[in-house]
This record gives sequence, C-alpha cells and structure tokens, in this order.
Amino acid sequence: MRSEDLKRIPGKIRMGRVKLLPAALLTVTLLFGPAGVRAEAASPSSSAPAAQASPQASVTQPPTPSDGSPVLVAQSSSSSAAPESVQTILQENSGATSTEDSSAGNSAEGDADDTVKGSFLVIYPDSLSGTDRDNLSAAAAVLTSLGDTADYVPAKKAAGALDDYDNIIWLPGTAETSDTSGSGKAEDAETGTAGAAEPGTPDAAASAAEPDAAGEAETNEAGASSDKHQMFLGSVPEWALQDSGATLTQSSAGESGAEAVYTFSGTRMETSVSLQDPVFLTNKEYEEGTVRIGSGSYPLASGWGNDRYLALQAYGSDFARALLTQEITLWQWPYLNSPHSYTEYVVLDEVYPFTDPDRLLKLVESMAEKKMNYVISVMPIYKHADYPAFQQFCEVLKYAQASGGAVILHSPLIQNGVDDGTLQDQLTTATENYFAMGVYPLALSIPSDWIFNDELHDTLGRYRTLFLEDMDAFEGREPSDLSTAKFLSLGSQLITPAIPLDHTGAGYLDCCATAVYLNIDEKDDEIAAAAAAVRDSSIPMQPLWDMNQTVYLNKGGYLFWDGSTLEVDGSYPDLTYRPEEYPENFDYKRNVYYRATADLAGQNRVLIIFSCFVLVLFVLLGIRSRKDMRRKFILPDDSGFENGPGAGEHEKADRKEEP
Amino acid sequence: MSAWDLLSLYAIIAIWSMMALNVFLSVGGYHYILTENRKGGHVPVPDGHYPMVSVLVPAHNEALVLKRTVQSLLNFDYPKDRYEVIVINDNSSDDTGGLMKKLESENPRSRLICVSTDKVVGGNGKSNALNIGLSIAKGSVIAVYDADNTPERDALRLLVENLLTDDKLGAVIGKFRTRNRNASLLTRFVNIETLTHQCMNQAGRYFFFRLCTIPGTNYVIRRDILEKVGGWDVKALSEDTEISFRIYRMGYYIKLLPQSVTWEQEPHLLGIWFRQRVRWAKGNLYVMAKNFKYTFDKDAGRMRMDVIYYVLTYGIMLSSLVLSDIIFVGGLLGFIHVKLAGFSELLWGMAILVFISNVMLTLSLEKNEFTLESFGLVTVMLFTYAKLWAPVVLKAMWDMLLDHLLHRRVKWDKTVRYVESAEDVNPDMQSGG
Repeated sequence: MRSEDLKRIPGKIRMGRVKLLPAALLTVTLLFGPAGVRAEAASPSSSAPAAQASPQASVTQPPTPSDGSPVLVAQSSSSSAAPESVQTILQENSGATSTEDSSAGNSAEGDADDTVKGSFLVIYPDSLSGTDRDNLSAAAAVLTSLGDTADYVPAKKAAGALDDYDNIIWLPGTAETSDTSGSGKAEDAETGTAGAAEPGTPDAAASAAEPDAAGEAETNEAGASSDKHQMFLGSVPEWALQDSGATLTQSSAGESGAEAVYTFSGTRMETSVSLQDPVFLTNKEYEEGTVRIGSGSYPLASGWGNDRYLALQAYGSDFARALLTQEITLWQWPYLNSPHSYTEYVVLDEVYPFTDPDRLLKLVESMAEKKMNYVISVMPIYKHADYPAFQQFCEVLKYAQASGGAVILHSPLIQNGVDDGTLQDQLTTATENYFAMGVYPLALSIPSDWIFNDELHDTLGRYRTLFLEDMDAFEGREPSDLSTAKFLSLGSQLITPAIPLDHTGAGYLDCCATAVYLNIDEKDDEIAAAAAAVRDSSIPMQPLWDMNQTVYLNKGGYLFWDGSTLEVDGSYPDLTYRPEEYPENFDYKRNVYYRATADLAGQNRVLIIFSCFVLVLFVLLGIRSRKDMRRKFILPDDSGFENGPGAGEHEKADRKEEP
Repeated sequence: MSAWDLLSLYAIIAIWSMMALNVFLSVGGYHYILTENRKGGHVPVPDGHYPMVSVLVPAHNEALVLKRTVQSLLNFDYPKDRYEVIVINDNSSDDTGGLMKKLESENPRSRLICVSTDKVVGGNGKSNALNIGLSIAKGSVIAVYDADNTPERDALRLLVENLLTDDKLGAVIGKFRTRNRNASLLTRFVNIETLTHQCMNQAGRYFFFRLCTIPGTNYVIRRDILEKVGGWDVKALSEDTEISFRIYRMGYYIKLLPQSVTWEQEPHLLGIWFRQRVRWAKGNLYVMAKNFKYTFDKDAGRMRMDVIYYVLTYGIMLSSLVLSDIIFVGGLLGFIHVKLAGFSELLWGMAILVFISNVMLTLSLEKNEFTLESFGLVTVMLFTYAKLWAPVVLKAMWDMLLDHLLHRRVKWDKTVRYVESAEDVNPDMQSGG
C-alpha cells in the first residue's frame, strides 16, 4: 500500500487505513496532504502536469527533482525508497519552491472547504456574448484538461484579483479596456500612483496587471522569474508591450477571412478562421504558427518574456482549443527543453456484455497484432454476473488484459440525477462482479458534468485515474460555476477526450493525456482506420498499465497497481490469460414470470409489426369502403347497389345481357 | 419481481389479446357489411306472401317520444294488412295512455293496438311487457321496437324477408343508430360506440361464427320459438341477450342485417347514460352467470363461444383495464414502479393507433361519419368515454352483489327520455315517420 494512494481514500476509509501506515509514510502523507499529488506547486509553473495521467517520463523512473515535476517525487515516494530519502527529496523540492508552495499545499489541504483558489486567473468580458461564452468554456475546458485550476472574474473586477495570481489569461475583449489607458499607466507607474486607481475601472485593471504599476518593483529588480505570466487572447494592450521589442501590427479594418496554420506535435494543421480587426504581434523572441490574410503573413502566437499573445479571437473551434492547449503548455513550461509528452489512449467505448464476444475478440486480436495499447470501457453490470454470456464476455476481457489492453469501468447510465451513495454502491457491485471474473477495471470513465457535482467527489476520489467521456458540461456554464479547482484537488489523473483535428478523430496534442473514443458498433474497417490514425500520429501510446492505479470500493474492496504488481482485495492475481470452461447447460433459475417477461420483450417487435400491418390493412380497407360509399351516395347510377327486392338480381341479369 | 410487475404483465397480455380479437372481428365485420351493403339486403319472399307480423312496443312513461315512434311503425314499407303494432303501455304514470288513445283514433285503418297494464300486472320491466304483448299478438313473426325508435321504412320488410330464407334462422336483427347524435358530446360518443362496438362487432361475430346477440330493438323472431322457450325471462334485465342464448341452444341462429336501420334516442346526459349502461351490464352479467355452465356443454353449440366472449369481456378485459389504469395512475403519482422488460412507449402508442384506426374503419362504412371531426372524437373518446366502461361494470357488479346479499328485487331502471330539438337530430336519418 502506498502513501499517495492512501491520501486518496476519502472519509472514514482513509482514516482507518492511515492508522496502519508506517510512521514515515504517514509523514509523507501529512506533508502532502490529501491532495499531495498537487505538490506540483513546487514548480515555478503551477501547470506542471502533476494531475495529469501518464507523462511519457514513466512513473517507474526514479524521481528527478530537476525536471520540475514533483508529481514524480510524490509517486516515487510510495516506492520502496527509505523514509529518509523521501524526506530528502521533499526538502530538495521545498527548497526550490517559494513560500507559495506551502501555501498552495495549504490551499490543497483545504480542499474540503468550499473555497479552493485556482492557480490561474481568467479574465472575461463584463458583458458576455455567445462567442465570449464559448471562449470562456474553452479556456475552462483547456485548463482542466491540463490539470490547472482557475478562477474567473469579469474585467471590471480584475483589478482586485490580479495581485493574487501569477498566471493570468485575458480572454478576447478584455485587454482592450486596459489598452486604452496603457500610456497613462506608464506615467502613473512613474509617479507611483498606479495603485491608487479605482477598482473596477479599466485603469485599475491595467495598473494591477502591469507588473511595474502593481508595485512589484522589488521582484522585478531582483530579476526573479516570478513575474506574472500573462496570456492575451485576441488583443493585447500597449502597456503590456513596453520594453518587449515586439511590433504591433493591425490588419485592415473589418472582418477578415484568414487561414491559420499551426503545427501540433509535428503535424501541420491549417484551417479557416474569421477575424475582426485582428492585431498581430511580431517578435523574434517567440513566434509560432501563421495567420495568412490575403498576401500578408503574421504570427499566430507570439511571446515576450513571460507573456504570450494569441491572435485568434474565437476559441470555440477544435483548432482554436487545441492551439490554446498547446500554447498554454508552452507558455507555462519554464525550461528550454520540451514539456512532457503525454499519451493518447484508444478507448473502445461503451462495451456491453451482450456485445458479440466473437467480434470483440476479433477487435482485441487486431489491436494486439498491431501492438497497440488500448482501453476497453466496459459497462457496469449489477446482476446475473454468473450467466455464461457475462463469463464469455469476461473471457475476452481477460485475454485483452493479457495482451496489451486495459479495462476501465464506464460510468453507470443514470437518468434521474446522481446520488453519491447509490453511485458508490453501483460502482462497487459492478467492479466486484468484474473482479470475480478476473477482469480488473483500472479506472473510471465519467461524464463531464460529474466534475461540477461536488456530491460525487467522494466517489471520484476513489479512482486514481479518471477518463472524461466528454467536455459538454463546460458549455453554457456561468462563469461562477466554471471552477474545477475542487475537483482537481482530488488529485486524479485526468484523461480528457482528444480534440479531433481531422476526419480520423485522432488528437494531435501531447501536452495532456487524451483519449480517442471508438464506437464498437461502427464497421471494423472504420474502427481500424481510426485506431491506425492514432497509432501513426506522433503522439505516444503507452499502456494504461504504465501508470500507477488505485481503485477503492465500498466495504474495503480495492485494486492497487504499482506498475509491476497487481493487488486486488488482498490477493495478487496473475494476469496471464488462461481459458476457462463454463457449463453449457447453465441453470438460469428463471421462473414463469421471467420467461413471460423475456417472451414479452421478444414479442415487442412482433406486436409492433402486427400493429403496423393492422394500420396498413385498415387504411387500405378504409380507402376501399370510401370508394364504395362514394359510388353509393354520390354516383348512384353507377353504384351497383341495390335498392329493392330482387333489384340486385335484375341488375345483374341486365348487365349480363349487355355486350 | 414485484406483484405490480406480474399484474402489469397480465394486463398487457390481456389487452393486446382482446385488441387482436377485435381487429380480427373488425376485418370480418367489414367484409360482411360491405358485402351486404352491395347486395342491398332485400330477398324475394317465397310466393310473394309476407307473413303476419306483430310489432311489439313496450312503453313505460314514453309519452315524450312515443308518437313519433308509432308514426314510424305505421309507415312501414310492409303490406298494411300483414302487420299489427301493439303498444304495451306498461304501468305508465305519464300521458302514454292518453297519447295512445289519440293515436288510435287518428289511425282508424291501421292495426294499432294499445294494451295498458297496471302496477299489479305490469311495471315489472321490459320482459314482462313483451310477454303481455306476445299473449295478444296474432303474427307468426314477432318484431320488437323500443318506444323511442324511428325505424326506416324498409326496416321491417328487410328483416322479415331475410328471416324467411332459412328455417334455422331464429331471428334477424337490424342496426340501430343514434337519432340525437348532435345533442351533446356524449351522444356523439354513443353514436360512434354503437356503430363500432355493437354493429361492427356483431357483424364480425356473425361473419366468422354465425353468432349474434339480439340488441333489444329492431329485430324479428319466430313466434313459435318464443312459445317454445316460454317467452322472455322476466328476471333478465338484458332480455334480448338472454333470449339470444336460448335461441342458440335450441339450434337456431341469429342473423345481422345492417341494411335494416332504426334510429333511437340515446341518453344525452351522463347520469342517465350511466344508469342505462349499468342496467345493461347487470343484464349481461346475469346472462353470463346463467349460461356459464354451458361453456363446457358440447350440446350447447356455438353459443358457448358467446359465453366465452362475455367472460373475456367482463372478466379478463375488465380486470386488465382496471389494473392498467391503477398502475398508470399509481406510476404517475410515484406509488407504483413497474420494471417490466419489453414494455415500451412505442407499443403503447401503437395500441392507441390500432384502436383509432379500428374505429375509423367502421366509420368509413357509414355516410358522413368518416370525418376529421370523428377522428378527433375517437381520440378524445379513448381517454374519456371509453374509460367509463370499467366504472359502469364495477357499479353493476356492486349492485348485483347487494341485490344478492340483501335479497333485493331486481329493479328496471327506466331510461329517461327528453324532447329533442331539431339541431339534435342526425341529418342523415331517414325517418320512417
């Protein structure tokens, strides 16, 4: 049992297990707090990928404090290292951190409280248009996928908050307000009156945002890299460019159709974008990507010092979101080398036990043959786990486990709200059912709205790795409800859906762990093509087994994987696949009721077909009778209807005589 | 598994089974009615000799409607010297007797006879009145009309002509339509109901099984059969149904002739309608109980199928409808939770569509009934009028239980008549009066 896993155990279970810890590990636990994995605050850039899954630098590697990734320290602390060395490593890291690190730790410690301060400040326009909301949602989704916490304030309230954050993102439509007063700020700064600006005014926002005017002269003089890191989207104020050496270029007025070009992890992508009076920044210090307008070519992303500027004005598209993700990662990476490269997972999504086992086996074998690492997201099963169909299904899963695949549990399909207690019971039952069959779901996939449901965090905290099934919950959410700080403080390794940049659906971002979800109901060749696109991309594919995994269930059940040993409920199962035989004549113990119910389910289709047949028949008969009625009442002379005794006979006789 | 699951399963199977049976009967009925409509219904009488017919009209406090009825009956397209009209003024407390005297004096050449009874001899229901009329009837064929009927001119002739076509034909019944269709929403519903569940259903049963049930009006029956069976059962509130079963047991059969039409006044108020239908339901339940023993008697012939049909209707259908309504309402209120596999809203919707199309098919055979308005009425009817059937039968069962426990005398609940306005009358009616 390892320390950081224990930190993840919520509530009473956690306390019960802590008592069993060796003293040294307990110390580690207490130092890191319940969200110890967030010790990445030790990094100058708090967006270090501590809360993300599977950096390419494998967790099995020894910790390297110099790489600025304390999460590796935290993870390695749970290995067999002696307590002293763990402390040493911690101290080394602590030495590299400012006092903010401990405060960040305290902040994380206080995760149980209602307020959890984010490490980013995102400033949005005071009045939100549809595009502004999209930008806001995109920023929140991107930061969450990067494992970064953020707080959101409107521009008019930014002044009072800027001092509290090192990382600030100005969404499109916010920097203009400060730009108008940029020149005045320089004077204010010189006269030392900047701090007196009225809060809530553009002046105040600009003065607070501008490092000099914010009264951080001492820091600047020291030349420390703790200056504020600011990213401007869509526009940049002049005060931000003082001494930057950058040249501001404004394109021709009006809306411009443009082509944006950017290279994601070695793959060049190009897309059409719409820009309104775009502003570009030319700076030799840092330029990435290109915007082409007519014959002109401008940098898509520019940088100077700690600051960045992205010329796009709308971030709702996949391209823009991917760009923002990539640029935030690069912006926050303080070193000359490249940031960590993260894995992209191929997930066979929503696999039900009634899936044709032969077809699933075929898919699994195909993946294994191509040496692909893949994940099967299985639906939770609560009863009838002893049925042969489920056993056969699990046989395929066991084979997949033994041949490069991993199994995760899909979120239960819940229609009427989520109740934490019920959810935990369901997950426990479903997981134990799979455990019993030798299948070990390593993680849980969840819909994005669960992120914002505080009541579920106790449940989610039981999984070291969480796959996000979608990012829908970020859309249309009010700024006050966008913070994911409390969720991220759980310390889960988060794997978000890949941002598709072409028709294959594959992602081209390696700055965070992503998943490409494949629907196994699609045709085999379509699945194969999508999987091949992921495999052939430059994004690394690592097995889910490369990461440490923990799953804690109700009633003390658990799964623990440390990269080499699997421990499940106190035993150490062997993952080697061994076929098992199951009785062919299984006693389903079905009584009359079950048979009748099953029969009814089978008859459903028959009844619907019967109903359709009756409807068609009745319509045809109705048409026929209406024709008869028409002949009888509207065209009586030609009706053939008889009106008196024997009239029909006479008429028939008459007709027979006709030639 | 829960008890509600089991009950739901039962209800679903029962309702769909009954629906399938109704679809089956509708297809047969449709074919039969369409064929009969094309034939016209008239059959030459052997030697051109029409038999003597006694038309019996039991009348208890029918002064409001009787004049029109008698005029229609006297206006039959039937040899005048070959039929008589016998009105049984059954212990009326209104001016039925005076009205009849007046009508007799106004029609001296007609064979219009009025028999008045007092509360000692009469006042014991329709069966008793019919038996009194039968006792003085001269005809070899007996026709019965309710006092609120206005049969079309050829109604009687059609019935008699067809009765003579087969010696094994014990009775021939015609169709009854709603005279006051436009009086209220209720009478519009009744109009559709009579066309659908009475005429079409009868036609289907006749087409497939040669089975019919006498509807109580607009029918002719052989006098000798009546005498053999001892007349109408005075204990029966549905004397028509009851005597139908006896006719079948004697080896005769009953034919439906849809071309013979009478128009009758239906209750225009819910309270009157409810009492009338409770009486019918009590009568049918009485008949079902009386004849249930013949279900397993091979000698009872095809009437056993009718007994089974009644058992299905009043046993299976009633219980399944009551259960499904309870489960539906209980589910809405959150008291009942059904987790039946295979139950789908689509299936529920399909059932509604089948019901509506079934009714519309019937209406397509009638003049001016196959309209958009009718479609709307049928849809509304399904969720309103049709739901009243279960309370009617349950009330009838409750009354019967009390009658039995308290040894109460079975009471004939007279349907109250009213004076129709011109707007109430169905414009398609071809009055024989």
